[in-house]
Amino acid sequence: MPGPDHKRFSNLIEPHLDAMFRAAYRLTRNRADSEDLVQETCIRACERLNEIRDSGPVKSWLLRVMHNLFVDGARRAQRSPIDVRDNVAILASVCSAPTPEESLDARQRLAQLERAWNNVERGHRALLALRAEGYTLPEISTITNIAMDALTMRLYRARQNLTRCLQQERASPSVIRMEAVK
Amino acid sequence: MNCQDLNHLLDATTEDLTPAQRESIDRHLNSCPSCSEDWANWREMGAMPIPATPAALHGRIAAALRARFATPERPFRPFLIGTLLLVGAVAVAAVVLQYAQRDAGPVVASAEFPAAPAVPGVEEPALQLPAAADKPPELLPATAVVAADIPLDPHTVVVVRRPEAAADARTIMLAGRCHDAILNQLRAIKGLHILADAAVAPHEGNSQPRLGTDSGAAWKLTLSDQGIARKLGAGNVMVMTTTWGCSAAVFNTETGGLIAGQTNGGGTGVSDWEPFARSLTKSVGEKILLDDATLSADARTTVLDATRSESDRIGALSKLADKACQRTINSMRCTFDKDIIAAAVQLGTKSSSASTRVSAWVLLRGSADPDLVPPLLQALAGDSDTTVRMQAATSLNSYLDVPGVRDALLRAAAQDSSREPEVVCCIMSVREAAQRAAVSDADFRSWVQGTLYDETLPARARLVPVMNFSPDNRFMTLSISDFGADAARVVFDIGQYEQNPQVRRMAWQVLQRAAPNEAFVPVLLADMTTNPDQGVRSSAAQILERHSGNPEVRKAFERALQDSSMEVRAIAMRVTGTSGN
Repeated sequence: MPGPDHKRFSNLIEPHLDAMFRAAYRLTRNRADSEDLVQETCIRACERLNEIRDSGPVKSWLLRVMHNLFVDGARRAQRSPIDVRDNVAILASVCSAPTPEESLDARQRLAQLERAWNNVERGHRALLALRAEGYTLPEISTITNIAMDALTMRLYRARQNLTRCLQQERASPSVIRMEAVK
Repeated sequence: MNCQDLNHLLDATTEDLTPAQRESIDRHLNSCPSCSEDWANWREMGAMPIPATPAALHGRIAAALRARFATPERPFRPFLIGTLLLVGAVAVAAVVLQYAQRDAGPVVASAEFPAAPAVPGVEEPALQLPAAADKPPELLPATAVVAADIPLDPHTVVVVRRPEAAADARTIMLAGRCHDAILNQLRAIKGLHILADAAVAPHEGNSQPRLGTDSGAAWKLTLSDQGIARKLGAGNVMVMTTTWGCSAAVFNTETGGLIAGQTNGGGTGVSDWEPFARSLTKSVGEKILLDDATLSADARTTVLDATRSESDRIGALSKLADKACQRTINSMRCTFDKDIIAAAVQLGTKSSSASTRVSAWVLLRGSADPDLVPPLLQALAGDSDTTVRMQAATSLNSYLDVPGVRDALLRAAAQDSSREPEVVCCIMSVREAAQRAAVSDADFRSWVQGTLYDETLPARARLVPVMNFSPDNRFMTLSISDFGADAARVVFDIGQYEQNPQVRRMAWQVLQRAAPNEAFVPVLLADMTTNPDQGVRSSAAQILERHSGNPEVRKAFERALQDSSMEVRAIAMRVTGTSGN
């Protein structure tokens, strides 16, 4: 495959890397996944670089590529449901560990939010992430190709979905499904 | 205004809202708990921190693009040229050129993308491709990107090693030996095909470790690990890390779902590795090679077979619990059959091993079977082991409505022979467990708050209820942030005046869940930089990570890159954006 024009890449895509990373991080809440998503977006974008008009809305187009990659992504990691095994042996082995990072309790609230966030359906997550990044409804409509009148309803449903996932997280204490061996 | 109208309005930019609209919104939010909760959660989600774009990202993308758009190179083929020249000179030249370019052949990295400018203090990503074809490059695999259509063998396991970036040489060496033991055991399992080390290394992309750098729940499969397994046609990938010493987890390549995982926390010798490796690989082998129905049937047979070892029977009971227990929002319900319950009760009451007795009661939680009350009451009143009595007390919380249970718990809370907990952190004494178990769900929250504010209690006892570790049947988690800023201040005051490092560490762990407060920073900074206890330093570092915008905090993290604690170094690396060794 012929390589893309690196000058066009520098001019058209590179200026938006920060915005792309921020959006990717909102979507994945994971640094490594965010980098992967941005990288994959850039690769896809470069495959079609010649189709981009220099005067066109490149950022929206890039975010649309990223949005589609994220929503359509088949390789997402499923989180195992976190099982509570308040096994005294597990707690003892963790509590007697020399450092608290081995505690599964670190940053509980943020961890709950992040787990709940990752349980939100992908399409909803994408909408909420873009909204949280400050994109307006018309911009989100362009990025996601969802009509404006449908978009507001979907955002409403997305927030309800987030609440449901967060309620479930907060009600279920969580440790990793693995057996700690003393 | 209804809920949908509200959402429509709130999604519009604020400049478009009139004062009257804003007033309508406030009125609706004050009167609609559902919308109020939705928007509160939404605001909280929106406020989750976003790190700065990694400095190395540009370089990484450039390298990936170089790999992706590499141009093939082939010499002309005289035979082809000669044949085509018969047709016409100009047209033939064009066709030959085109044909030659389409030939597959050794791949050279394109030099079209210049290397990203070096950023001081930041390492380039590990994946490096030759910038120019001075010499014949190493052949890349024919499928240089992950191919979605390779069939995945469900009995093949790819094994990758991912030591944490902040791990020191000794940790890596010891964990490496443990990982070798796991690999050897895995290779001995008939029916599994293992790909590891030399077979895997050529396919490894970005070797930056990703697991274990976040504390706790970091069991997430990375794209490159899944990608490697996919390239090799393996249905499973085992990732070995140095988290908590020696850890390994197996994931399904297709879904990323966790199949099995264990950690050998703290074990450093052969006597620890071998049984750990056997236990882990047995679990992996069963889950990959056997179907669910067979596993459940085998487990049931094992539990009911009194001639089997107790540890086998408890292990089997645990497997049954995986299938038999359903989690709802506020509870866990387990449906074991009567025979299994009877066998588990026998283990809980008759085993000579306290660990077996505890495990049996733990695994029966959620059964809600009134037949369990008498043996649990007996264990609470008469078991010789404190952890068994503590677990019996915890389990009895599910039966507060049964006559006599609350009284028995209150009696134990006042009179149990053991006053002190076995371990400082997290696990309660029998008296504390019984006191807690006697509190109804309706009173639980106010009890937790009251305990925190009760200055007559020892510091540890005040903190335990707001820590998520406290074993409890009711699955109600409360966070310090549920009790407001004043409660966070109480926790901070407990921590800053506490001399016992374990209790001080507990206070900082609790505070990690509170909203950030700049007023706490000076004490936490002092702890992170000067406290002799590694645990205190790292728990302070976890809170301070959220204050990394503070220049003083940032400077402290730069110095903390040399801390003797791996956990502190890992956090410092995240904050300062430096990569590992």
